[in-house]
Amino acid sequence: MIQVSELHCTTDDGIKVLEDVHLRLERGELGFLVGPAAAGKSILLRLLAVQIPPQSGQILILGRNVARLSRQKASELRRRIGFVPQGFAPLSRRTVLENVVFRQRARGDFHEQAEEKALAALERVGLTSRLSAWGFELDPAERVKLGVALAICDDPLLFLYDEPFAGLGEEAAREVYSLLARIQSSGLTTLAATRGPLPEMSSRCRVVLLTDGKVTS
Amino acid sequence: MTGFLFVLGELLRSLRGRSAALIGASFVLVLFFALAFSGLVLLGGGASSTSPLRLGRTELLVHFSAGADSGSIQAMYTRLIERSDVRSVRLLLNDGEAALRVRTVGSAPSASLLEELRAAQGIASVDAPTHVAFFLSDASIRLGLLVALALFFLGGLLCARTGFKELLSSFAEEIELLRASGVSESTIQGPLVAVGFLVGLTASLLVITLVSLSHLVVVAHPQVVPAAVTGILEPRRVLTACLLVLPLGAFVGVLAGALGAALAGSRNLEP
Repeated sequence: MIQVSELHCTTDDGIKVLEDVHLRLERGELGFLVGPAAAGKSILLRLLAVQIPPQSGQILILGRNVARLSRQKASELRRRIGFVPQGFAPLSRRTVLENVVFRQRARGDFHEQAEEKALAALERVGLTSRLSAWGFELDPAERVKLGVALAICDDPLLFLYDEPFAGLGEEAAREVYSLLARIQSSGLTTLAATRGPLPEMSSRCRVVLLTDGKVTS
Repeated sequence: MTGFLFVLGELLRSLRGRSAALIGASFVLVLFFALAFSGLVLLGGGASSTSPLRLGRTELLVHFSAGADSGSIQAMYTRLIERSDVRSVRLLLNDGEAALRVRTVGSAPSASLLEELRAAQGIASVDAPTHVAFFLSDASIRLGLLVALALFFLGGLLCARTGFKELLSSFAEEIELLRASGVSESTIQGPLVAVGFLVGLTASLLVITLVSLSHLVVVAHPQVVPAAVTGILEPRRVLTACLLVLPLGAFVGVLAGALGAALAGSRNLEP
């Protein structure tokens, strides 16, 4: 599903963000990129989300080499990847339902279709009871759930979440982990980046440790 | 396309307060820009050649009274043509009424000539060029319009840029969400260009309407038109002005929108 090899990334200032990164995630697998701040997790996720092009090395997603994709193909692939960036914040002046409908409509769905998909996604993440809550009213765990709903709304091929446990208490983190595991068990390949520690129940997943831009284990 | 139109609608819905005021100001400036451009196209020109009732800066129109016979007209013609300050004299006949169009030398008809004509017997009235034409030459008006054109252009773009900055800061959350959702940059930035295009197009359409209506009004009352803008009496020049203003206004609008799109592309938006 995801195969990364010899991936390097350097900032404009010459700082190495990723150094010879190798990573492999099979279809339907749940993986965690664990590492301290500035370890290169977010950059790696953005590279995998086709949000930025790789400088050197190879990223294969569903067998497609990201570096060799045309702009059009890269855009198509990007649309098939559900990505929640670090510090995700919902649209504060819109309701939970409107948040998802907004995303879907901007992606080209008509209102009825967008609402149908939004309701299905919100049901999957357990936010049905909060449909009319404003974005600013959500607690951190609900924000994460909304982020997940937004990302999985269009049945993506791959689901990436940057820091899903940030700012969550132990119980909320366990709840979010359960949600991620549930999403993964439906067959969706899932990769999340976190500074750790992972919730106790996360034993049945692949964990990749990233330190100073290098995969350490 | 559906996504593009949706984002455009949401963007227009986010226009309020300062951003609406600034985009509105940019609309007014683009409107003035288009008006100034139309003014340039319609400025001066064939007053004496195409419209016998319009006067150039060095011209006079001498109307004879109804009872004037051909002999007195001939005598006046001879008197005028022999004067050193008169370049040419032309007889005009309209519905049995006779008039002489007198073109003088120098920058304007002399006061003595005017006095002499007004005191002469058999003359009903003497039309002289308007005051404006004495003070403002075509060249100075043209220069003024060019300066105004530049100022309105720059002002319009500046207002649009600041307005788009305001608009984008109130739309920053949405843009972040769209980017994270894999929505293409053209779907995010395109609507901003479209907003600019709409501003420019609407302003130029308004100017076209104004110019066309003015043309219809002044054709019925040509005496109210200042000598400097007699081009508005000529359908061909009015049509030219309209045809040029439309793409020009739309272009300025697109340029303003492109500034907004560039701001959206900079990724440094603060909600």
